[in-house]
Amino acid sequence: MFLYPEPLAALVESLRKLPGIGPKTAQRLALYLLHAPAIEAEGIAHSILEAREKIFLCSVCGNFTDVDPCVLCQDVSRDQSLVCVVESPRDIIAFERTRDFRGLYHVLHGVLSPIDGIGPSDLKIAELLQRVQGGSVKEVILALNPNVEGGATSVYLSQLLKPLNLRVTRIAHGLPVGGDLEFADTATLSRSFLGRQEL
Amino acid sequence: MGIYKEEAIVLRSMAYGETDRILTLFTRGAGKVAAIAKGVRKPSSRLRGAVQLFSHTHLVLYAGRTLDTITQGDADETFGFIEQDLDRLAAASCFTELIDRLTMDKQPLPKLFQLLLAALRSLEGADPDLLGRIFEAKLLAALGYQPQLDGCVMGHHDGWQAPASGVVDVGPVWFSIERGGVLCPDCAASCSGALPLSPATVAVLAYFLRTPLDRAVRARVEQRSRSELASFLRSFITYHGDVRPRSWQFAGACKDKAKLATDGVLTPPA
Ligand SMILES: [Zn+2]
Ligand SMILES: [Zn+2]
Repeated sequence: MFLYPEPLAALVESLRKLPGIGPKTAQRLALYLLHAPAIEAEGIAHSILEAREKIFLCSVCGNFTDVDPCVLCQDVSRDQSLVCVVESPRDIIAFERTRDFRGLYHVLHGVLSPIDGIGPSDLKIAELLQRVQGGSVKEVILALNPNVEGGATSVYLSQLLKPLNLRVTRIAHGLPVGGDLEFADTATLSRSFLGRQEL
Repeated sequence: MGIYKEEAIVLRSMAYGETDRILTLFTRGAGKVAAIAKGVRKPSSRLRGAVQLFSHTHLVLYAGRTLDTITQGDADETFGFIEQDLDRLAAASCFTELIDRLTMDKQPLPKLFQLLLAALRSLEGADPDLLGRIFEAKLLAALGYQPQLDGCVMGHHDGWQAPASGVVDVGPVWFSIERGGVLCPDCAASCSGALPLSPATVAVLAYFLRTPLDRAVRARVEQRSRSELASFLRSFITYHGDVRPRSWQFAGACKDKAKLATDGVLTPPA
């Protein structure tokens, strides 16, 4: 049986560890990196090292940053009384694209998931509780994904936050914009009733 | 197999690629099936509501080489109460994780499907802890590991029977996890690693094994038997199934919920 030479096999193995990359894709990427001009491969290696070296978690919100606190936390034009709790830094990017939210964020870095062995102490929950007790935060908006784990995490957080005299809200879950009612699934429709608003 | 329809419960759901999820399904007719739900993480996906974790759902699938593809779906029951309570989330996760880890792909186990469905349906009103024990006992029976509780597991030893509960001063009933049953006093003396159980606990276990789940959940069980049964069933499952589900740890952590909460709230900023 033919095997790749050791350094190439090691590269394939490393790439396979990336999320969403199977053995075939890992081989294709590894061969691409060997074919590509040296400067390109070096550039990728350099970017990885530099990001690892210069990016860390904001001590206030837990987002990835290269300054502490991060630029969002430092921005005094943002509403300091609103904290939006999200699962991952990617969600911040999504919310920022809307330009509708002008408060601050808090990244949990995951959600409760018994099967994956993720419990409350594996998330940035203690940090959130400390942060909101400073007095300046008036409302915590829970913006986790509308699935079982996100829902359970929201319920758990609201139980911890409500005794602290804060307004605790949750983003609406319901029909996608532009979708037709008749094609909506049952779970989404029943949620959209629960989240109905006064007009 | 081409295109087929199945009634399924979603045991596991993992994000995959940009917008897909890989699901572990437990189906009524085909047992455990790995399937991909494409585009299901996009809000516009019509399949999304039908493939949520723990959902009881009717699916149309297309058989593939390694993964089947879900093409249509309609959720019957989503058990929305599970996310309202960590103890219930922990219990439901234990059910699904045990089935996932103790069954093989595409091995039809319709009785086990019915057990899981009944357990999820009972979870809303039942004590999640007790329901967990009933589920574990019945799971063992459904997989062919039913603990033997009537008569010594080593053979016919003078018609010896485990003492009935309520009899005072009878001492413990000895159980061999390895052999999978109770031992008469003679065999217990010569068997290493025999486990002492109180007669009441053995009686509760026997009751759980012979009573339909929806009735068994109404049993009143003393705290001592509860904890004895919990550690007994876990040792039994770990020994015979060679698994130690992660959800068990989470369930334990939920017990310390109050502590976790206060740790978070009361720790002064460093
Ligand atoms: Zn920050
Ligand atoms: Zn014997």
